[in-house]
Amino acid sequence: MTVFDGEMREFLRVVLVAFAGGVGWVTVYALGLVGVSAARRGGGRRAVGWVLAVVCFLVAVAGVVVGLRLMLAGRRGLE
Amino acid sequence: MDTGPLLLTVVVAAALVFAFTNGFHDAANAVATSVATGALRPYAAVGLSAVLNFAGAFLSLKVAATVAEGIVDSRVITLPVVFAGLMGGMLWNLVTWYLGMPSSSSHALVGGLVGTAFVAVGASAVKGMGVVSVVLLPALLSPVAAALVAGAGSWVVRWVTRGVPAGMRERGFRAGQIGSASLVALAHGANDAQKTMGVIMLALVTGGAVGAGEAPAGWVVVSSAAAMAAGTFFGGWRIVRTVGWGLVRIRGAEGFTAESGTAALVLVASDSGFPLSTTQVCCGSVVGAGIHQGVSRVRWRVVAELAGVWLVTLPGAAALGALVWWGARWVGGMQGVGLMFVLVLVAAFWFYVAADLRPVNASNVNAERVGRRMKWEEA
Repeated sequence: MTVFDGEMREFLRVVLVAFAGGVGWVTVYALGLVGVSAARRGGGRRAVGWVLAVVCFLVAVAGVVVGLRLMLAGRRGLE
Repeated sequence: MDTGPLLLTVVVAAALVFAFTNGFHDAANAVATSVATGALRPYAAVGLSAVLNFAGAFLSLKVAATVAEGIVDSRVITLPVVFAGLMGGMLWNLVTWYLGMPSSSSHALVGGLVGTAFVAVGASAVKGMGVVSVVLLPALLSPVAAALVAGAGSWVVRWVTRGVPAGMRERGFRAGQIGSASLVALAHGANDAQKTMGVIMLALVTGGAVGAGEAPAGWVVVSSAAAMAAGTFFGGWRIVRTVGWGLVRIRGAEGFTAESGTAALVLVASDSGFPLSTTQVCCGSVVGAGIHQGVSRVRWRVVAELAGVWLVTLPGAAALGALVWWGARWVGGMQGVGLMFVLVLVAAFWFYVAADLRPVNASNVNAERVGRRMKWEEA
């Protein structure tokens, strides 16, 4: 295996991780919006809607925090 | 008289001026879609972006290591070569900013360094494999990858929120854009500020001030981050307009997915040490999200113009860097470097004045564009 292969394999890994992270993040946020929409409509789904919205928005924020913490951990390894 | 320390100071100053133009030129990456959809007011957008650009610079150091060690051979190049490379990249940024074309500041920097090293020392000074594998191939693939991420994200978002009323959907995603734009600004700071750190480290190694392989000192990180954040705060509105309105008329959901796709790709790439072009990723994401609205909604003529500019960025910046190097060598010594620095700053002022004759600023950044590239209708 050449260095060239190694870099390209790493780049493909970057794309795959970004795809999963990016699409996953917007999906979770969109589900949160669905929850807010259901909660605002009222009726029997009101409570379920709020729970879905809160859980999804918390997961979205947690995803960002975990990602940034992983980056910071990698930086400390270089210092 | 030993002019080494003075020369090193001038090169570091040149790197910080480049970082300022980088922030100025690339402000669009984080703010364009948010400003276009009305999620953020223009000055709020660049203010938020500047603060997060600064913070993002502290997230990672891997890209700095790649730029310092993976592009040109620090053992054979000299400080005037690093200086001329920086000036080549900066001049390219100014030309493309004047034209309102979102070209890659990263490729301008790499092109300037490679071109100058090539004419000054020869092919042996350029790490060809590094340039191809870490810069060129990712440059070709990253806009496509960004379009895929944003396109898939837009499709999923549309399907998931199909039952949400249109008004609530638009408001919800505009609110989300504040978060996604913040992430792009953070990602831009993480990736692009490191390129300046990398060049300053290259200059410090070349000048013998630090050893090869050392991590950037605190002042290098802080000064690079501050210079880029200041540039971002001034906002390159001409490019913001092209990215926000020129490629496709974007709405809240597409703006949110485009920004999220950009942030995800640039942050992961920064963590892996790839000096991706945030601009190319951002434009690819906007087009990917735009295709989701319908292929005909994308202004393919502008996309083709962008692709053309991207293709000539490396050779263009390389040629400008080589010109600056020849100029500095012709005059000779410290005087040559100083004179070229002054001339480039005069050129920068000229571009600023010329652009001011047909201003694009926070007040008219969202005005309808008419015709092709620079034919804007004033607000």
